[in-house]
Amino acid sequence: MATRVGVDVGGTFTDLVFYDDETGEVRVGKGSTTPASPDEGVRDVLAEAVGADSLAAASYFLHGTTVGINSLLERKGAVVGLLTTRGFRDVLETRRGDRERMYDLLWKPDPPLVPRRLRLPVTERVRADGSIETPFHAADVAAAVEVFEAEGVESVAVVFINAYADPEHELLAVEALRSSGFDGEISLSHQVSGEYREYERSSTTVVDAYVRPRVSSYLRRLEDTLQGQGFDGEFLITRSGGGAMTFAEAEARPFETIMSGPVAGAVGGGELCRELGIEQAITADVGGTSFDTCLIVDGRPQVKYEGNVVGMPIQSPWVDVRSIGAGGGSVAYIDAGLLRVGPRSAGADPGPVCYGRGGTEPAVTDAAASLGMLAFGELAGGVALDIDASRAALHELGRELALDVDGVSRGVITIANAAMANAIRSITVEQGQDPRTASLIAFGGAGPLFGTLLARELEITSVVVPNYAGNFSAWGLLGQDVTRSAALTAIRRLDEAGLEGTNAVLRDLFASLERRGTSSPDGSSPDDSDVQEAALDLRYVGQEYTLTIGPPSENGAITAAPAAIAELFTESYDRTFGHTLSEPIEIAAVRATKRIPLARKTGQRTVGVLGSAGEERELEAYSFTRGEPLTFAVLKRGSLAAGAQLQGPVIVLEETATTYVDAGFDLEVNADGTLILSDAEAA
Amino acid sequence: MTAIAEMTAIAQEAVVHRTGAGSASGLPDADPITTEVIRHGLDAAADQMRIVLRRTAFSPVIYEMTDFAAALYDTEIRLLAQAQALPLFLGTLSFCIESALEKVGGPEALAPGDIIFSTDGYDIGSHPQDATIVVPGFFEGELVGYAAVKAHHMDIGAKEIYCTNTVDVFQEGVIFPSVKIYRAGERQEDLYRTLLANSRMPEALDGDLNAQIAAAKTGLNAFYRIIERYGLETLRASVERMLDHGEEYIRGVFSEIPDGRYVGHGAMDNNGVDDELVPFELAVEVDGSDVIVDFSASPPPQRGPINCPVPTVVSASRIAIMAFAAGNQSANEGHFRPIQVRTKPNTMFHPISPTPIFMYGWPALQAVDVIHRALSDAMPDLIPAGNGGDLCSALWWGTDEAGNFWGDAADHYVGVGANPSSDGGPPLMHISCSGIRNTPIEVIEAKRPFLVERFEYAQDTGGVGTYRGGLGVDVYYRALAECYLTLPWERMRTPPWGLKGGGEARPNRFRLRQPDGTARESFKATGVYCPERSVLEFETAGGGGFGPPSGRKPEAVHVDIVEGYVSEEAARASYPHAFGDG
Repeated sequence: MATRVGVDVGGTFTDLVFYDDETGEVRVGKGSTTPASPDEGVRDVLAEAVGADSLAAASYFLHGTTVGINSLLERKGAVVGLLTTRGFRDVLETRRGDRERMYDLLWKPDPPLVPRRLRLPVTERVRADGSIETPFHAADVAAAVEVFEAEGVESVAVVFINAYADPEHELLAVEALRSSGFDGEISLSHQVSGEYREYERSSTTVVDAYVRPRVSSYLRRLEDTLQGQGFDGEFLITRSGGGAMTFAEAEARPFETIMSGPVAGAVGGGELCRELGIEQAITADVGGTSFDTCLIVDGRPQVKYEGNVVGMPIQSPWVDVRSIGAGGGSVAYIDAGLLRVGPRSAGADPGPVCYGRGGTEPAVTDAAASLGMLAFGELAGGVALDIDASRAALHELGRELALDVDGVSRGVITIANAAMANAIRSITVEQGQDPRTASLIAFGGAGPLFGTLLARELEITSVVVPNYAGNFSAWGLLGQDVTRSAALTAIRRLDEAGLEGTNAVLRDLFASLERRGTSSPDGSSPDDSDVQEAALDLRYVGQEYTLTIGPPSENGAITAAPAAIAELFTESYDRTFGHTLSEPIEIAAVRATKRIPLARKTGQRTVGVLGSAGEERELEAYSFTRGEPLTFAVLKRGSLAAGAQLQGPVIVLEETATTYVDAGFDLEVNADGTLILSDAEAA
Repeated sequence: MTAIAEMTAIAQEAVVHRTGAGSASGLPDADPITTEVIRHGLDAAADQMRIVLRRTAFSPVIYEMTDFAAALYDTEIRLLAQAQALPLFLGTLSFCIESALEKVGGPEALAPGDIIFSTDGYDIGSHPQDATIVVPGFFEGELVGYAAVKAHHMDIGAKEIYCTNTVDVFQEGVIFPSVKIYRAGERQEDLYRTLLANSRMPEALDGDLNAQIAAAKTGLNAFYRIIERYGLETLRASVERMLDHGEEYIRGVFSEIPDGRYVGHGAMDNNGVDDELVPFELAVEVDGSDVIVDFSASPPPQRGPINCPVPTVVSASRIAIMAFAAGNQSANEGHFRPIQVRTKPNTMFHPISPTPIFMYGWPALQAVDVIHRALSDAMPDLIPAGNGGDLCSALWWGTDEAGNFWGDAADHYVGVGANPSSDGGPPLMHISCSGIRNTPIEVIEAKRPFLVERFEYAQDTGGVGTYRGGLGVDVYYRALAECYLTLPWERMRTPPWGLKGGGEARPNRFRLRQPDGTARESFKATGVYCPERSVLEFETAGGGGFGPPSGRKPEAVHVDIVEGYVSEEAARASYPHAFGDG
């Protein structure tokens, strides 16, 4: 009943994982992303890896995509008109006054998504307490619609000051837009985000209006394509905040899909932690161009409530995945006598020198290949890396530094590794966590290559390499629940009266989530399995920053007493900040999440699909822990039975990833096939 | 420190910086890979200090406006890495460490767990509110360096929470002259209580000071990890190489500037006490790859608080030069080596205690812009026209309905000058405060008794030119309850300048409109009484234009009219050629 297929469209590759719930069979596929129309890449990888019969048997298609973000990056979105409160026409353009590059005198932001001539004022004003200061003037909307029609506006965003406190005027604007004859798409700020900060809410609402047509048409095309291939199950897409939403809901709230790409890996990491009982973990997803990392505590990736895409803030839940420009394709170069790596990437085309596609600048993958970390350089489909070409390019680079090929290769790996380790330190410090007590979950094409190196750098003692490591993001899609969330800025003291008011807000929020769609995407899941989760943004009175706390709740109402909530907040504050204050506590915002579990996977899996056994080989590769070349055993992952125990140095090959297990690490194959690498020399 | 000694110290700094490079340390040359890894590690350590301070601070002025500095130094007090926070504080902490050491009796007098606290403006280079802590780092019993954190505190006992009219340092806040507030890990409770007792906002002061301490400890722990991993000797060798690299980079940029002495002129609106313009002159001398910023022609020390102590004069010179020379590189001591600063004791840019300095940051901001103005002929492709030259802060306070005192600050961005190849963009905070953001009006309205009537571009406020200056904004706050306002604004009398024939822009303006509709303009002022229903009308400056207006493309003129940046009337007057009348 719950056979499912996950397809994750990344910048370079389109990854697929198919899971047959009856047989436990897992199939993986990898194809090239087709940026002009990504649905074609999805179609091709499905045809190749799954086939019509299996696709017809699947219940869920779960998707992660970069279509939304690309629409922003390439500035190919709708012509948007913006209605603002009179006197606040330029909020979108004048931003917050900060510079992306702090010391750059000539820096300026990109032009706003809506030019000034299409940002039109409406006489109206709501106060911060929700009371009406100036009534709504419909005539201004009628005048604006004339301009919008003349300019070919497809999508209108409405952002009124303090609409979070009372949405009435934004709703009146919809009526006025329709009665003036506007029949395009409309995005209302209070529906996109219930939180204050006018620039951030404007930006989010405009992004929503901007990407809407492109996301919609992509999702519809994809639906048609898959239905043409025989799929008749449910279509789901990952939200930036984790969890899935139906395609229909994604068309209504496209801004929630902006970051659906990198999130899936973090979500999969969370699921793996829950299965293996890991309390605290850090994901290390190393792809072609970037290193993505996320902190997972108690089986949940850390979520924040504002993100930023190409300089545009997005006010919505956001799995806190940090990205730096350090991947397999990151280019090494010399800057005034010092070796530097990235953030520029050779990408997939031309790619690293060893791909033999015309790349001439050595990249991280070239350094790894040259040191033997990629073993014999055999890739899926019989493609072989040109390791000699890598070494020639690295030789050139090394000459300027008076280093030999091995020396400069070690340098490239060491520097890339240090940059990744620093990114991990930053995300853990922000959360007041100590990376040394976490497990490292290494995946993506190059993640398992760096697992033991990162562990040593960070004094982490356990590295987890999941099944299908190279396709793990697609795997992560499969385990998601359908979720919906809403939040509202509603400032109240944390006391009996305040909590009562807050519970009233929660009731309204859950009711609004109910209205967003039928509770179950396919009707197969009974309502009583739905979970309603409440969370509060709390702070000491006078502060601006908040911590989000999930107090005990039942049916969406908070059941904990104010004192108990205060204690949870104080503990969390102390953990994060190292001290507490004696100030009273206030509630700044209320968050409601509805989680609708999909029928569960049985968990049964055929491990044999991980690759053929093949014969055991060995080769000489560089050991970072020993500081010298050693003989590494080279094994196929498919030859490793559950419970098998090995000692590094070992290189484990599978179709889409290579796991480099340095000397000093033990390898154990978990019952589910996961590789656990433990530092055998940790103090 | 006497003025002469101070002067010598500056000269020595420059000399030391020139000769202290590379193998002079006697250490073996570091390998380029370890150096890069250690550089990453030090930058990450400084970044962790920033993260911890912002996340733990109590006051928005720290976590929202990033009005702080956090950095790591070695035992020779050379900057290893500084967090990206307030650029104006770039490199300023070295002075704080030097004075702290001098006051407590040198490095020998330090023990693990000591924390030195200073609010002495002449030591820290800024007003007492920018309280600084210096924490020595001991690794296995050996002094290995310092973490220093300067952060703006809302109140540290000045005559008002923010003053534009002090006449000596004793009115500007309680002076803690580099005292050990922790000795060997023990907080000195008598001292601490005295500190809190002198603040109108003791909880905030307590919380923010704890945040500073947490940040410093985080930085030192990250520093210790690097030492543990690579060893002190390797670290030191890598630091030498890293600093040399920074120096080499900046020298490469400077050697492109034609040699010469470039003079620039600026002015302060008034000194805060006497209502007269205060013009000043500075010069930039370029000789090969060496640069001297010469403040020796500064006016005499001022009776009001617009005097700028030497540490901030030096850091303003650094940020002015980093802004066009270093792109987005993170700064270290090496970057500063080619830069020297010349000052004359007992002048506005080298005051002697107890000359008032509360507004020290404003002459520094003006100096940054005038350094750029001076170099505009020498570096025609890199220097934009004049900008709004201020961060247009509103510092306001009052009592809420429950009778509790409240105090807050909000900054406002200003117009950006046109640059040599395009129009000035949207308004930004001044480059010396470029991490600062404005406070959202929805946040202000939810928290304080204000209703914002408008927050919008002001048409026709950018300077005309081949490339038009960016617009300023009009921000009108209606007071829903009485309050008081301190307005530390500059560039209200002398407008942002154009370059190469471009026009001037609107200067910054403030008007208080009374409930009866009458309005009065004001320059900088302290404690202005704003009755209920009065309107505080803030109008921030535009940016200057670049190149003669006759060179502007007619299409650009018409786009400006369609978008409403420029009125048709103003466009016809400034760009007749675009209307076929030229």
